[in-house]
Amino acid sequence: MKFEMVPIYKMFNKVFLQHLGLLWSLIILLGLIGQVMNFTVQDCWIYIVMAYSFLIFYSGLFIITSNTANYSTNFNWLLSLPISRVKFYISHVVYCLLQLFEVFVLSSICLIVSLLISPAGGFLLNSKQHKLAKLIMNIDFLPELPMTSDLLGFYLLVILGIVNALFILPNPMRLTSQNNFAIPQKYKKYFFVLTFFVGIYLISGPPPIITFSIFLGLLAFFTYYKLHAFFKIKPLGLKHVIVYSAVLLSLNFTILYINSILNVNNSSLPTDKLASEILFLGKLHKGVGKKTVERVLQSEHIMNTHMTDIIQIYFDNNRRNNVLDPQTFDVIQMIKAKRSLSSFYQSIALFDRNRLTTYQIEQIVKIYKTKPFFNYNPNDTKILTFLKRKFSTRQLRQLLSSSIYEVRNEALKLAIFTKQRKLISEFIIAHIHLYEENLTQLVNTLSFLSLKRVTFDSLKQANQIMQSDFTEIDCRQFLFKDIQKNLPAKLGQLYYCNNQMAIESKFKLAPIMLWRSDFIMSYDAKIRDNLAKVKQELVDLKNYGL
Amino acid sequence: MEPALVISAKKICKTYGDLTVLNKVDINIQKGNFYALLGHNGAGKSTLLKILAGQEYYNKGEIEIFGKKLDGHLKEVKNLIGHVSEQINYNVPLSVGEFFINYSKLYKLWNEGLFQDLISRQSFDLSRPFNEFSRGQKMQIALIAALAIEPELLLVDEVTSVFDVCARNFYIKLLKDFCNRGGTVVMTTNVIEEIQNNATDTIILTKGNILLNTPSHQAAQDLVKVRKTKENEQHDFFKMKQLFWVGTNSDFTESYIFHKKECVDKKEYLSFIDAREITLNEVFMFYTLRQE
Repeated sequence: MKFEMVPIYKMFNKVFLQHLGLLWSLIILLGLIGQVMNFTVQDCWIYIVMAYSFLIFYSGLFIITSNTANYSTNFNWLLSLPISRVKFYISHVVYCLLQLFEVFVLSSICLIVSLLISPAGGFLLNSKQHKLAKLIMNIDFLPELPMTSDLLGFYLLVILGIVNALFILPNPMRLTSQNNFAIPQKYKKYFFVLTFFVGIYLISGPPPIITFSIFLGLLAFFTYYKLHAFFKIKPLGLKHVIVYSAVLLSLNFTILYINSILNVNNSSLPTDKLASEILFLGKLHKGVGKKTVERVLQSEHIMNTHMTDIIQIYFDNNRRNNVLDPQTFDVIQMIKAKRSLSSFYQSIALFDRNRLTTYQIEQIVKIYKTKPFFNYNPNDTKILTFLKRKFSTRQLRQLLSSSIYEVRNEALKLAIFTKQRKLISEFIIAHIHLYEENLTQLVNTLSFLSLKRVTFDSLKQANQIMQSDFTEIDCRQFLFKDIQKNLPAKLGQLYYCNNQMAIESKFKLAPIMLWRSDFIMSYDAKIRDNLAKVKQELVDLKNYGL
Repeated sequence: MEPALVISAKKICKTYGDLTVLNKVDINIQKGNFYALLGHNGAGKSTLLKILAGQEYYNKGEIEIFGKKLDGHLKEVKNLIGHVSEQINYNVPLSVGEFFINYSKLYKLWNEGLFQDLISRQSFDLSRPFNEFSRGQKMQIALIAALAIEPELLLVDEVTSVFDVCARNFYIKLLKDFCNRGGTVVMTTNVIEEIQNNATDTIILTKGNILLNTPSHQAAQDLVKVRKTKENEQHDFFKMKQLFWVGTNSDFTESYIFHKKECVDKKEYLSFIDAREITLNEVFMFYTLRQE
């Protein structure tokens, strides 16, 4: 038999098809499980969506694991081949890139399949997959993509990729035993936990600079270990790790910095990109920063003498503009003129945000939430954390009592994520009529988050839900203002009705949000136990046909 | 004339974290010889072979292969070395034929004729994918491929222990022929009988140290085997600490070995001497037990 050289694309196709087959089998399996559950438990489509979304989020992990496992079993003989280690390294990088491509394509396929089943699956797409799905399927029923969803997918992919590369790919210097991995396997679980929390933190929407720093940190760490694995013979000490990481991190910053300097006079670069670079650079390079800000503002036709003064104070006097100083340009007036999200952020960055008054914060949030050209996203929690690093309880309470609906909502989200639970309880009790209205109509998924949180927190004290009899409750008649009188006693009912309404609702995104809120909140150990009990209780209740 | 050195390694150290696998190992491998590298499990045999094959780095020491330092000439040296390990796992989504077409392009001296000849003698179907072959068959294919690259040095790590008897004899003969043509083989195995009469040299490695590196026929020359029977079992000679038990014989007598230099009075043991030849197995047992 005559054999011919197998080109690299053919080998890749074979691997790809293997994975595709496995993934397809999993989809079918999960689909069958979902259908069976739907048939037996009824109205249980949420489980199907959960199963698919689980598959989608973890397909990246699955594929990379499978690929790298293949790769590492082949490592021994690959290393014995007469090819240089540099070529080996290059081939490895190419292989990793192909893997990323494969992950993207396969997860897109999964997502598109899930979309065919339910449009709600569109919530799980990242922006590129969103576009791809729209293009391929020629459909217009896809929900608009929230920013957090995009970030979620992106960060999960990045984190999973890095974690896999660090832990699954062995260090080629020392291959076969437990100690031979770049990071000793005994630390593996700690790193997984750490990356999980970093991932959760990133999903919750921290300030951009923190996100960026974490990303760079991970990148530097990953690069260091790769380089060490391929080019260094002796294991290095901690000081070397620190020095190498610092060098690589500086290199990353330098590249970004040089890129910014080069882009100042690049007329083809969109202004929003320039503005985001300003956010990053700050006052690092006065000339470049100043020039870029001026260019952005000019392009938006809002450059005037007031603006020149602001920029002058910011860059030349080495201090941020005091938002309370009557001499400076009014921050509210300034952002009202903004036409893009990044220039909106960049303008606020010129001011000392810690001095913002409650009134100013209210106005900024209102503008942010009402401007049609800002990519409005109900789950975006960035605006308040961007405006101020840390809110005092007093100021948060003021915001929670704001007359502006958007501000109240933003403050509530912040209270949820910063765990100011007492405020949430206070707020719910004080604004029960608002919640009653929202929950009845099921338009405000945020209410679920907050109510669930309050319920879980209180459950550990009262343990009501396990003892309560819900059979006689008619949730349609259940008035939330009742709970104001005796909150602890009614928490079980509140939770039951809350979920019951979510399950019965035809508004299909609500359960997704419910599930996602579980995902976000379940890292809290105190809540986790109660969550498990409540979930079990819910399943039991459903089994009794309630 | 001094025989040509294929490998000259000095003070090789290799550690995994706190675990020292090789501790200042000195080893010289001469051209045309068949070396049996013996050692208990975890002695460092596979690690040593991996280091010599350029697969794994060492922490300290110097290695010269074919007169060139391994560090700077890894790629050139790899062209001259065939390495087959039981740890090698060809996990590729290709048929054997497809795989070796690609594989052969990496080696300058690939001998397609030899490869096809050996493959057909063992009746392997090249159109089958790797995962359809048993472990023993995969190892056989790997060994054939290693021979087909026309190496000067062949490092064989525990491969033959997964072969059936016929295959084992076939490949041992192939390796001997390879040595007769001027090649050098370093082979580790736990089935010492298979190389009893084939290995020209024996190296014993224990706890990261070389205990013995000598021509096989001289391996036992300083050792004496004695037999303990019912009649002599109470004799004080058998209470000597330097005596090491190496096995029970078919007549229920027990064999012990000791080093000539470690027994002062020759007359004392003359009457207990076991006339049978000391096997390589017994030599290995003696040295490793004595080390422990």
